Amino acid sequence: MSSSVFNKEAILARLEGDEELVKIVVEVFISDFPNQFQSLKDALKEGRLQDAVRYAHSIKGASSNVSAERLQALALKMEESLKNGDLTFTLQNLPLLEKEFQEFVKAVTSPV
Amino acid sequence: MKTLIVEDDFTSRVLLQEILCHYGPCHIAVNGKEAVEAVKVAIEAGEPYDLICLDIMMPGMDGHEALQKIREIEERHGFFSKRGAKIVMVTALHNIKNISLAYKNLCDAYIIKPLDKNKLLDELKKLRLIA
Repeated sequence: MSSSVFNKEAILARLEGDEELVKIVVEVFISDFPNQFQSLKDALKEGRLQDAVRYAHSIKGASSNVSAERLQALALKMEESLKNGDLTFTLQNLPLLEKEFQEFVKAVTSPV
Repeated sequence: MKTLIVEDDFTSRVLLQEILCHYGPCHIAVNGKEAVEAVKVAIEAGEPYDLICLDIMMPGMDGHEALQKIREIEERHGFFSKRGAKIVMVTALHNIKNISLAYKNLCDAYIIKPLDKNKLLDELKKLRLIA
């Protein structure tokens, strides 16, 4: 199964077809992502590995809640590599994480 | 139903709040330490929480430690097992180690993110919190 940038069917199914609730959660996610992203970057820069794991985990959880599947998959890989003490993967893929987020914003704001 | 949502992620917090606020007052804590304080205050005021939704991975005190501390506070105040709050873990951690530890520490249910509204409400029905 290939993952999508924004799986609207999946989030609607999970929230009982409540479009209004989907809209609220997506907006909150979009407004909060830059903070989470910055926290992850800061933790990496300052070598706080445990915090970095937690932020990657948070980004994974938040993206899963809005069915941002590609973002979720990347955040999961970051969380797992960080848990193994590997900072390189996450550092190298920070620009991709930001790009996936921009793709998500585009996908939710473009008319269906 | 009086609810305490314990969650460090803003998106997850708003989602739970939007669903649960229809059933009564919803309070928020952003980490384990705040949650334990909120529970203590509520019990001492004679208005304990009916439901606590508890994330696991949080800064400072995590959900496992908060769960233990909350059950300790309840016990000190003479609320044993079934009379305490219903505690539902809501987390993206889905390995056996975390699940069994949470049940060992007396959670009532364990829900895995992404949050499914129906699954959550079904659990609350099973726990007789909502009709």
